[in-house]
Amino acid sequence: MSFKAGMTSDFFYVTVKHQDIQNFARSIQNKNPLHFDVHKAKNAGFPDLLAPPTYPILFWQLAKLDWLDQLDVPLIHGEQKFNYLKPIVAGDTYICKIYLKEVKKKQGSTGVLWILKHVLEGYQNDELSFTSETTLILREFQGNEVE
Amino acid sequence: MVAFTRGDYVCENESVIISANDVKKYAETSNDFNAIHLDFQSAVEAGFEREIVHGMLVMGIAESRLSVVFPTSFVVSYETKFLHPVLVGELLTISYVVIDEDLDFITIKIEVTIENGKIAIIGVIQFTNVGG
Repeated sequence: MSFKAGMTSDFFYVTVKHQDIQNFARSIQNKNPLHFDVHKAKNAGFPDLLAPPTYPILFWQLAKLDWLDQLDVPLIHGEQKFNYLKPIVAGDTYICKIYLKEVKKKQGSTGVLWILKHVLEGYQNDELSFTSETTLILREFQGNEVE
Repeated sequence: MVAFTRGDYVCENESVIISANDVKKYAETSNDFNAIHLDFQSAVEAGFEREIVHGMLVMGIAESRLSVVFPTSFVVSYETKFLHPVLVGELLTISYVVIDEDLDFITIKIEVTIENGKIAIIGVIQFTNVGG
């Protein structure tokens, strides 16, 4: 097991479906009609149902990240950032990748902590549409020493 | 944007309790079945008092309240730091304070406080008018 800044997933495709937006919005107790009603979304100026801003976290399910594959210790979520150049709406398809932007090692009170800053990028027509930065913290203990 | 100025509370503080069922539903939607969220024993073994809520669920719920205050706006950025774990079933208080605003944008600081008075999550979210 080793972590290095620059490690990157293959590109993967994501298509945003109406039902996925609705289910996700329900799961975070969001009652904004723009996530549920296409007509209301269109009246508000969006081409289709609008996705909640934390929606791209679902895209992680579709990525294969070799460097996290073999871990059997829980990862702690330290920080999360989303930035949008355009809204995500139903019917959109994105080409995405996830890469390790930064790797830091810190001495914590209970052992060594690895701080792994990941970036998910979503593109449409070769243009960046959004980024989602996810910082995960891994607690190292005997048996899972990281190179 | 809208009728807010710097320092205003956007809405009353929100009181939220995230139940084991809410966490189970979020696990199913997000496909994140990490045992520290769903199983008492695993959470305790990992050093927590009991099961903890997905950080992303708290982040999502915190935004959901604002989403109704600015129903036709669009979020250009949203970032949070997860400072303390949020336990399943504990009472959370969420506050929303305007830290910047102009014609097209409004920026709001979000704080999620847990029962012992500590801030569990701190965040900043920025909304803009569509086409604005």
